Amino acid sequence: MEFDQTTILIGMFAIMLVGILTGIHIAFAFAMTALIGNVLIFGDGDLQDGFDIAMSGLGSVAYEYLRSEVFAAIPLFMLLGDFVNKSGSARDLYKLINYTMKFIPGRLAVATVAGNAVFAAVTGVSIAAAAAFSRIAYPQMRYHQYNRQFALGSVAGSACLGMIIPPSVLLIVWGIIAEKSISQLFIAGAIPGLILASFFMVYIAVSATINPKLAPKFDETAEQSQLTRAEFVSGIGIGLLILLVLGGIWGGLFTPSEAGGVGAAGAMLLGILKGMRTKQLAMAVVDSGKSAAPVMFLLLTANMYAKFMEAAGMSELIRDTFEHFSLGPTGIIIVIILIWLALGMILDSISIILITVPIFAPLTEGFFDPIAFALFGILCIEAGLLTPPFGLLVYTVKGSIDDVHATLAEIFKGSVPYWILMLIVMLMIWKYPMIATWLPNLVLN
Amino acid sequence: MNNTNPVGETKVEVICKSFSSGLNVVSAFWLFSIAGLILYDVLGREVFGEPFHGTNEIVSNSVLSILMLQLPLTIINRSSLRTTIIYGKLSPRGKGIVEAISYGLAAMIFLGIAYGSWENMIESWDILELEGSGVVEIPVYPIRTLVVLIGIIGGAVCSLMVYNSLSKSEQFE
Amino acid sequence: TQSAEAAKIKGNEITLRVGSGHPPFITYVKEVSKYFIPNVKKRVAAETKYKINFKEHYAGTVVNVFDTLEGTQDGRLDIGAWCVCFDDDKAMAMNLTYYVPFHEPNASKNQKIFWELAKKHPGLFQDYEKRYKQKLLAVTGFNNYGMLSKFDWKTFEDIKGKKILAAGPNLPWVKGGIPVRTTIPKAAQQMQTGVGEAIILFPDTDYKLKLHEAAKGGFYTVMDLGAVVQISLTMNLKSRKKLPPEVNKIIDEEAIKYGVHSAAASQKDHQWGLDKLAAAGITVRNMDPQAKIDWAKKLADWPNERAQTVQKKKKVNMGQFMRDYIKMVEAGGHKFPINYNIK
Ligand code: NA
Ligand code: NA
Repeated sequence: MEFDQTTILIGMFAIMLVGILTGIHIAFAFAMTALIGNVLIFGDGDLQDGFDIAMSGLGSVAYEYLRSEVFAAIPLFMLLGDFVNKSGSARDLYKLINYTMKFIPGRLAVATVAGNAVFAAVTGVSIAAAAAFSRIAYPQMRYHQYNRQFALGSVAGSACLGMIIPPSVLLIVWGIIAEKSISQLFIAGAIPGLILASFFMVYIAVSATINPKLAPKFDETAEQSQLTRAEFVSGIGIGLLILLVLGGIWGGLFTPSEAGGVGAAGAMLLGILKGMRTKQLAMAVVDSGKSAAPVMFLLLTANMYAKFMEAAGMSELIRDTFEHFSLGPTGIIIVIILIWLALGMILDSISIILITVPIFAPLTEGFFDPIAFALFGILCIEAGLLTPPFGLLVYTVKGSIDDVHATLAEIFKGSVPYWILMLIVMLMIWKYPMIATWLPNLVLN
Repeated sequence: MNNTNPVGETKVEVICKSFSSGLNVVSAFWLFSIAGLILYDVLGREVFGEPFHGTNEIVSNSVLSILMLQLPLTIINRSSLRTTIIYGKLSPRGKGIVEAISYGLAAMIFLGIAYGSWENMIESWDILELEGSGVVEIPVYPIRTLVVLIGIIGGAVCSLMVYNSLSKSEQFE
Repeated sequence: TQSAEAAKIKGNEITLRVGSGHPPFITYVKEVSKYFIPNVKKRVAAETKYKINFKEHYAGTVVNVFDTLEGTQDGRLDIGAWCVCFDDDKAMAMNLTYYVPFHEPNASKNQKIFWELAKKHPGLFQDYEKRYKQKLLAVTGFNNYGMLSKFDWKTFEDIKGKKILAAGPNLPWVKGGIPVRTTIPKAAQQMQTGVGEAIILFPDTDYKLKLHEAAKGGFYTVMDLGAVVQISLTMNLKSRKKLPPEVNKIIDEEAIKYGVHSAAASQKDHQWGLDKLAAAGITVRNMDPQAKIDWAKKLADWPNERAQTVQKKKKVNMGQFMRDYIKMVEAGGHKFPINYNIK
């Protein structure tokens, strides 16, 4: 049996798509199509050879890919979330927010966006943000009777902020690959990040005003609105802990992945102060032990798929596509957007940057400011993490929340406004690159 | 996600479930210790000028191990992610079949991981492979072994899930 | 056999996969892509009846830095370019130059010396073929390690309490300050936030990673810790069997030329990096000789400790290899700041 590699690439993609739509578990569909694809690609006519190489590759990726400190952030932030939640601290914090911001429509979702913006500004890992806020913010929004889809969307959607507001791992990788200044990129991310965060907040406030069922108005008599002195103190306490952990990153005391560990330890201390005892602490630890695996296994299998795509000539295919059609600037940008959105469906953001930026950056030189293009690109790639049928952020939220009633479809639907807003900001940058370049030019010149 | 206990669990199922839960508890406390280790390392570096060497290697290898130990329970709890667009509309029997196919594929993947990792595991034991660049010495052969073991256990658990999905479709009602 | 041949050769067309865990802006990877591959292509076309194509997979897209030896072993790659520092056990003895700090600072000279040493003592890489099913085609390296710091320093005492980043096998070199582990992707963030106040690296890589931005107004000290030879270019043995001998011969010859060429390019990058850093406002200067001696003294026992460890583990005469290496470096005119006593 022999197939042209592009046929294998497209064929496996189609099989995977059908499998996932039918309800085959997503991770298994990723891994299986990657495996079969690898047998064909590496065998190149010799199936025995292909089988051996593909199997060995499967074993190697399973062993190597997650063996990295970066991924520790995901379970650690989940553990932090569990301590904060099970101790009741999260409830206190959100009650406090609810009370103090009572005139803002949809305030808890707005606070989630703001919280993500702060979290984003220091960690720069959107999957970790989604994991943490799924466990901290979502249950509280539900407790305050927010609409499920609305609450889910705010958690998944605002997690993207992490990649735009500096520091961001993606901006660092982009800067290195495209040989652009990281400081310049960081400064350039500030305004688009703030615009995006404010768009998110306005969207929430407006929709909560139009449809109060999404986020109930403040009701003095409701149990959720009663704030005791103890809750007030505790709410302030947890707020301070979070700021302290984040401040530690700013102050150069630890890296974002270390912050997960320090934060989890701090959250446990706070839990003990709140009266958690050995048994409850152990329960929180054990519960968090159940949640990281589905998300991380998905990341692992997505990487298997990414490696298959690359071995099957993904980059060559993209290159050829551009060589085939001699496009003008607008055409190039549209094709780039389509490719990014398509890749965003399956690959993680760093892989996408590694594969596409060396091709796209030279293509857009001359008609798109490279700094603006970077922000444009990151918005587009992150939007892809929210769009169906595949969206790693949506999957992460689904895997992290403790609510069997929430479906993937609901999270996808809830996220739609967020990625549309991201695309709007992205198009604004395309039309007015100043949005990205003005501040770095001002600061650095 | 479906956490309800299927009616009439067989002995094999009960054993598998408690074994997987046991692994999960180990993994949870491992994660917890990692948080402690990171705190210790950060304090050591920032306060006492003496970081704990090997933290990076220990954390890296632990992330993988923690995931591996969680996997069997993830499988048994059917908590892997999936779309329900078509699946949600199927009859219990139809759902059972999709589940069976899913876990059949998963069984092959897990056995494939075990098979594909075997040679490197043997080599790792043979040379008692260490990691840590001469700064620390972290043995990686237990980690490689864990990957193979989880591959085998995962394969077995998935096979059980295939059987369970086909024979007890009433659980999908 | 017919079927085995079919896997690499179709008609007269050969296709090989080449890869590295590092991205192509790293010199040794860039030179694989821009020097080695085009030369092999050209010569195979000119001198044989075959045409050779390469599929290039860099930056961890098919294998990551820890997995290139294994990928070249199992056939995901036909040719792999990798840093032995990520296989500090499987390729332990090949980490030799790391174990002798303050060695030859010129990348070209040291590449030549180490290649000679490897030919003289194949024990250095004996496991490559026996255990890992790949042939060593060439060695090459980065350039001279020095330190980019946010703070000014002159004497060895000045770095006391400073957090100094280093990536892996050179972490033990960090004496005086507080050693903090880094990796290429992490370095920028660590320097930005202050988790690291200095980093031991090459000037060109400092610049390419934009570390000078974090160390704005800082210092680059040429320390002459040495131009480590730590890159191996290896080829899967099974793939070699499938290729016509005349093609293998061209690959082998071009690989050796690549090793030399890439080292020369690295050496050029050193000056380029220093110039770039200086232009970016970093003060570039040489290390104070007394500080160098004080620093080296703190490392005096380490080379022998490493020699014994490798000897015990790999059953090769590592002490002999290291003594020979030191002799060859000194014969080339370089002086170590202190004498390492290696048994
Ligand atoms: Na998507
Ligand atoms: Na390796």
